[in-house]
Amino acid sequence: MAGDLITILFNAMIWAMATFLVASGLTLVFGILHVLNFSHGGFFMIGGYVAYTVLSTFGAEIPLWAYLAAALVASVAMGGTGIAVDTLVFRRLKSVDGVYVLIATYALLLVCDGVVKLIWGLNYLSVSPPRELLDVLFLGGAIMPTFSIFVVVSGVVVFLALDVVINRTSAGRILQVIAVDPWMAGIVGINVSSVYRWTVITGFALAGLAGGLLVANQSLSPDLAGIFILQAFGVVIVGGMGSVRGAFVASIFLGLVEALSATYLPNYPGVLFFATIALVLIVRPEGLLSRQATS
Amino acid sequence: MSTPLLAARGIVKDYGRIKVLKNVDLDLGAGERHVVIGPNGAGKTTLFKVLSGETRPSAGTIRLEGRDVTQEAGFVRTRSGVGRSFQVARVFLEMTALDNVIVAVEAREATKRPWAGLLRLSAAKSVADEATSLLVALGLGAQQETPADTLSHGDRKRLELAMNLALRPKLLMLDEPTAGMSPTDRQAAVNLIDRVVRDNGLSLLLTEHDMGVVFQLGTRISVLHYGEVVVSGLPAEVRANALVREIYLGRNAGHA
Amino acid sequence: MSIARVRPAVFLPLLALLVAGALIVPHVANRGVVFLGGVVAINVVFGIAFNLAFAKAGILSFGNAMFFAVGAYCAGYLVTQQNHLPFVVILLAAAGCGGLLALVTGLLALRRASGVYFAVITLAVGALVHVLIMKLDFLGRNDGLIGVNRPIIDFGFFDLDLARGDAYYYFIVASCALLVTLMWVLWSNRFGRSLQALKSDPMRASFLGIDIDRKRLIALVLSGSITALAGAIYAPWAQIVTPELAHWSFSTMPLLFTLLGGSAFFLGPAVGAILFGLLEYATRSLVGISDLLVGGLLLAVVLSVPGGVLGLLATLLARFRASSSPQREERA
Repeated sequence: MAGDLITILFNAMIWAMATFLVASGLTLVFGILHVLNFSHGGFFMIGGYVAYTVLSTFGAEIPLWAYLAAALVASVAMGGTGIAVDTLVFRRLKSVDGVYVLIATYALLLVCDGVVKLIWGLNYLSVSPPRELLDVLFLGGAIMPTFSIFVVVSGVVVFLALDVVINRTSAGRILQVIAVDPWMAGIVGINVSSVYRWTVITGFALAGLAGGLLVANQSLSPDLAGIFILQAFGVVIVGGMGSVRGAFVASIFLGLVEALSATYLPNYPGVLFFATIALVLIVRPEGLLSRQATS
Repeated sequence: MSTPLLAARGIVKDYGRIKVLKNVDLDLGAGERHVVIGPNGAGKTTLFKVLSGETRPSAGTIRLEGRDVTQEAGFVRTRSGVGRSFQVARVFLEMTALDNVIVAVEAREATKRPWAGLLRLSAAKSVADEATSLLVALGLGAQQETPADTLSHGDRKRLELAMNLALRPKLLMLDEPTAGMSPTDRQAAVNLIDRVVRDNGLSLLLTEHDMGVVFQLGTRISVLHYGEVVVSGLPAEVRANALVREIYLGRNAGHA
Repeated sequence: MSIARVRPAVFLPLLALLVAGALIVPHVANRGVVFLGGVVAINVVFGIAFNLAFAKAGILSFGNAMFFAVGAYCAGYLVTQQNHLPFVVILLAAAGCGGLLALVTGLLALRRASGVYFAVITLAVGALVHVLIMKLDFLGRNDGLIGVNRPIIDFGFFDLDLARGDAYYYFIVASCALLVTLMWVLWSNRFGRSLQALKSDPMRASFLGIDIDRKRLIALVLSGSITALAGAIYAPWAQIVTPELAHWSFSTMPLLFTLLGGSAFFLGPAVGAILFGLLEYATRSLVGISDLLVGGLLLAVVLSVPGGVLGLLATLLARFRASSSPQREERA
């Protein structure tokens, strides 16, 4: 019995941290630029495929350092793409009605889908976890693959890193000021435009990093973008748009919902997830934890 | 005493920990022209928002002709006969002046008969004629086909007034109607408001900074200070009141 | 340009032209083109229904595919399982389902949600609908519904067999023309004007006594019902209904038609649907790139020509007029 509970909790954490890895970049960009980048899921997916391509040179046995390196490559690649997207899309549509940015990022999501289908095809691709993480731990009846533990740890590490940067560094303070009052920030001499660009790059880099770290977590298919972007949206809605801490807590909360749903409602995936978000929207539309600022 | 047209009791409005309105009582009788004055930060705009239905008070009641409207949304209060203007005139910028008023007239008619005339594409002739005469009465006859975003600031205020009149309100709430105007424009605005209120038999509630406007238009004045009404009465009484003098002349001599 | 003076003399001839063009197709082209023609007609309705909510009420939905799918599945199911029901009843049922779904979505999202929230929620609801469709047995799960035959409409004293020859194609053209006209009335009448007001300045509209939440909800429900109707008309045309119709990528279609043609114009989505139909026909051998094509095209349009083809033409026309009129005045 306890084993079941631990399994549910563990599965919840895996889902939570995987989703948080994707949602972190999304909520960061929203908090600072107030743009909800629908294509974030697409670049997460492409990051995964890039990592796959890098790792396919290693054959069956992938060393951990290579796995991490591939994730880094994906991260840098996506960060670079972020520069292009910022220049061609966000900046161009900045002054136009906000609706057009949404439509553009939505179109970009579809483009990512198309690119993946074109370059890597429609079939499912998979990467096995690095050879150091092929083990399994047993905890009170629950089966815990070490790779899954790695995923959970990665999520926590990324969260801590972001939290420290945002809340304990001067760079973070600048971010917080810009999130609340960009005009004022400009007046006191902060190069707002530059910060925006770096935020976009970071957001995309996080998407790529997530893609690379999670490449062995599930199979790769063009459906990945759609699946993860919806999960990330759910987290961002529940946690409050723009809040990294909110996203972290919301991920865990929704992870539990998902784990329970998988156990007790396996024939109706997503229904409980959706019902929870609907409830949050009705009861507290600004999110369970939001207090406006990026925190 | 007959039921006042608008009666506010014990209005409190907090924004988080900031108490903007502490305990406001206000009565407005039919035919009255009630002016709310007070230094900056006294809470005039907030009071306006609460009375018009733009926001809900944290506590207190508002009655319109005896009926409790405290929790009613703004659009419901408008349907009950309250027209309201904004400090910066709000009109439909992409539409022509005539279309703006037509929309207002159609909105009024739709409240009475929601299902009538939906198969008619163009505005009914009676509607268009009414809109035209309203614009002419307010001196905008020549600008009927002008897109509202090219109208001057003053013309937009007149357009907004025309739209409010199209609703055939009982009470007109004007938020600083002469804000930002030159002395000549200001006087013209006062004359216009005076004529409009007289011609249509309206009651008036307005907030103002300019004392000239206040004493020309007002039949009753309430002074708001730090979220409370400290003095309320006839213009002559208020003018002579020592506390009022202190509030206004103690710190900002001559300017209100 | 006054919105209170509507000129049917401009719209009706254009509609007649489109209908005439559509009616010629079976006489000059092969089966494949006729099929595409029917799809384009349905897409015109799909696009305009989206734009009614988007351009007039400012509602951006990324989930219109779900309305289309709900309508298609409703019709598909009823035609195959309950074919004793009159086809008109089936169509109305489909519209009702679409309207109901739109009502639920709107109640959930429109009231306090900003544009961004609303767009996300439509995506989420759409995903849920997609999942449910794939899981429900009676809807054929992943395979969908097959054998959705073109029905016979019983008019009492005579039957109209839509399965014969091109009969269903003409049915599509007639019903789509009817729906387009209906939407044109909603676009141009005082309901459309009040929507435009509420999009232009919600606060001012509110203080004219307009219940903006309710109006937006009505706009969404109308959009959803008519989209569902389009889906219902589509089902017997394709004779198969599959879950792809509810996939989020399908929701990009009405967006593309609208932006490509120009969202400020009532017939903008029609122009977009026709252009896209031509494009699809021209690239029909390159099957695998449709996502890239649609997404890329939509992106390109938003970034460079957000007013669409008609917007571009309007700008050019205005410039042409401006450059030629000073000369006219000089001569006078």
